[in-house]
Amino acid sequence: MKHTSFFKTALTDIAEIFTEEIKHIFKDSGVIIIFFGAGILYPILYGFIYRNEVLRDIPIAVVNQSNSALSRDLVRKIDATPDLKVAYKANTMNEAKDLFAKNEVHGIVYIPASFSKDLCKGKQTHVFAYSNIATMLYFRGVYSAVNFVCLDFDEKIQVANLETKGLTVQQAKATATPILREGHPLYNSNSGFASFLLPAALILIIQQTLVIGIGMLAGTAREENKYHQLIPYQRKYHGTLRIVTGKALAYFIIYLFIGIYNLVLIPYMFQLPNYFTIGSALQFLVPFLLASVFFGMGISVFFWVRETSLLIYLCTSIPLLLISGFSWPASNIPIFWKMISYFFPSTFGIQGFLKMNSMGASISQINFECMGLCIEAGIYFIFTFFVYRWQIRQSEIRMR
Amino acid sequence: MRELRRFVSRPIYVLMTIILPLGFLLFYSTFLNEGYPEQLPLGVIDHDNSSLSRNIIRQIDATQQTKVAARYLHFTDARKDMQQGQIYAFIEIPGNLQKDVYSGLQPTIHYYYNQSFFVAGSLLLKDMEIMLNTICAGVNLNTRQLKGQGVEESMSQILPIVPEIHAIGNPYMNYSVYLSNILLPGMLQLMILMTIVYCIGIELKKSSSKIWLRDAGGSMFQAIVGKLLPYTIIFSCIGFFYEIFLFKFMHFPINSSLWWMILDTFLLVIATEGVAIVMIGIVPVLRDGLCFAGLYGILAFSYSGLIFPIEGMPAILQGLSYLFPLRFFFKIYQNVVLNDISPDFSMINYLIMLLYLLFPIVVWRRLHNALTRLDYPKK
Repeated sequence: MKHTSFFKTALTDIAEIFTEEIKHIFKDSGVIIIFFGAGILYPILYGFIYRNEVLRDIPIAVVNQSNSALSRDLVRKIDATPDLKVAYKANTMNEAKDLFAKNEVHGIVYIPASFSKDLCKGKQTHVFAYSNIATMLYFRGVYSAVNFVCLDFDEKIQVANLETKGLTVQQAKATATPILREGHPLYNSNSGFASFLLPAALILIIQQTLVIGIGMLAGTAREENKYHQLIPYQRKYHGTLRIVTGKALAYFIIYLFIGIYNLVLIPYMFQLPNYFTIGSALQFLVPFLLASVFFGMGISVFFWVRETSLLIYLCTSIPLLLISGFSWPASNIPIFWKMISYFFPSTFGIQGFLKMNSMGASISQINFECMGLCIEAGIYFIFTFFVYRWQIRQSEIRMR
Repeated sequence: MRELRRFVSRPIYVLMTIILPLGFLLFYSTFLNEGYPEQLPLGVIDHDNSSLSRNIIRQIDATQQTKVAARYLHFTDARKDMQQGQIYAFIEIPGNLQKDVYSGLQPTIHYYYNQSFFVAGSLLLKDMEIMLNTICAGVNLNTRQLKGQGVEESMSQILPIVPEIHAIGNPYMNYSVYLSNILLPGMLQLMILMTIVYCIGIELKKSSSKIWLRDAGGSMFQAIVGKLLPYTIIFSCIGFFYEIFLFKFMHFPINSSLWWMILDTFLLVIATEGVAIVMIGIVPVLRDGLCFAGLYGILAFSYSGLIFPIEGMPAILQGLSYLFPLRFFFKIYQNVVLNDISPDFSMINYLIMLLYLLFPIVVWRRLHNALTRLDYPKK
């Protein structure tokens, strides 16, 4: 009998703290902006910004000093690539540089006067291309298109030369290209930029809004009660565990919806890779949210004034994105920063989400990330428990 | 003077203006110290296991950029490891490769790369293409030499047109150069936004804005200039320190004078301050203003056009780029400093940077009302 009543009061306490916290959240306009404004609108904005996924028809200028049939054919082929568009045919290099300076073109292709003569004589010739590395995607486009077209020409010329020497077509081709190569992008197969960036951004949005929101709530709680305590001393709140569980439950349930929205609905809406179903999303989301909630609650004791969480924590967003290893390869992150990165749920979150949702890995394949999130959830739960208990003790002392 | 007293009295100011900016410098310079990712892990499936296939694998492993991290018997195993992020790419060598090559049957080597990890996937794609081209040309060269052709003659046959593709400005393809030059100023503008919004917002929150105005002789212009002056100096110094560190100490490529970069940084600082005043003017409540500034500041990274060019965005969203000084900072850096194009071409960018200073006029009245009425929402 005694046991049932204990559980009953525990449950009613938790439920009470839970509803209290929900009320707090919905009364606070700042938290609403962060939780719902940022958590819901930001993904949509980013989705639209990167909607075009890939760059097509980057304008370039061509300086064709050879002006032969062959060189004109080369220019046509470059123009025909999906990456590049020959926007200007300049007569001199200076003219092309001028266009480049005005940002009218993002690359220059230069074909020297000796181009066709060299080829006829069987001499090696060069085609020069210049692009601006400050925008990596432009350089990438110019590089791959010019390279592709030149190598294609090389093979054709070579085969033609071999044929004149009396080889059959098949023999000539086999000599020119003894091994064929075929590349296959396995995931994100159209090399889309949104499909690469957005998944990581979505995870970060969930974590950052959650942590900032919790920090703001904690800051408000401190500002509003006399002794600047995180948890006001009240008779009915005995049992740190109940307070921690009750509050965590409130954040967790709200974010379950925001999480599903971000990780299932947004990828679906913007046609990003989406291997997730609601079921598999939950398998991943539960450990990730628990880790983020307790992480947020744990560090919220350091935020004395409500605005500080925003002020300080927001600035960590970009570095957190970098150390998660989604862009700069995880295998190349200095060991020190790798260690640091394991403190943040976003690191495992981004890796796990990319692997499951973008590459179709099963939950058992991301064992490492899941374990990381569970361990984090455990450690931050214990940490939160102790700092909350410490805070409650402090307020008890003050009350006396 | 009043601002200075306030500044030293609260640790948050020191944290925001000095400790965090220096922390970020430390972060970026140590995080990206490698500059270019090397020894990227890739996998190999060798169905042939001949001297030719082993030679290919050896050559791939020997390059700086890649490392053969694992060998697999089956495609599925390699794919699973790729899904788990152990490798970023793999090469599948077909059975009978050697035999087919020498009988002129043109066997195919398939290679797979992971574009979900865009940077690693793209780099490996490029490396694999170059390596396989080289290997293929090597076999070709061998055949020709057996027939008695000289190397030079053979090469002019194998590669009659040599594509020479040059990167302007950053010839080393160094990611640190590429990223630090915008991420650091980006962080700087974020912190300027937050600090300025905070320091004006806190006056509203503490209802001390009337005293602030009175101290400034009732003129809002003087009040704001007086308040921002110390921050302008501090943030400019931090910005100059960034640039000197990057260009003088880290020896980042610079093709014109460092003074252009210093000027650019100074313009970014004052332009961002202009935007910050607009922010707190539109939403004259500390917490909401900070949220607003924060969301805007993070968005500025996307709108710098560094990673994904503005021209690639939908037309409506392209227009928004005029709201971000970071965009024009980056343009000036790219044109004047990196590519050494005469500043005449960038006049329009300089002009836009200065226009941000006039931007606060839009919210002048609104902010003035907020400062004098003291109707800060208490709850």
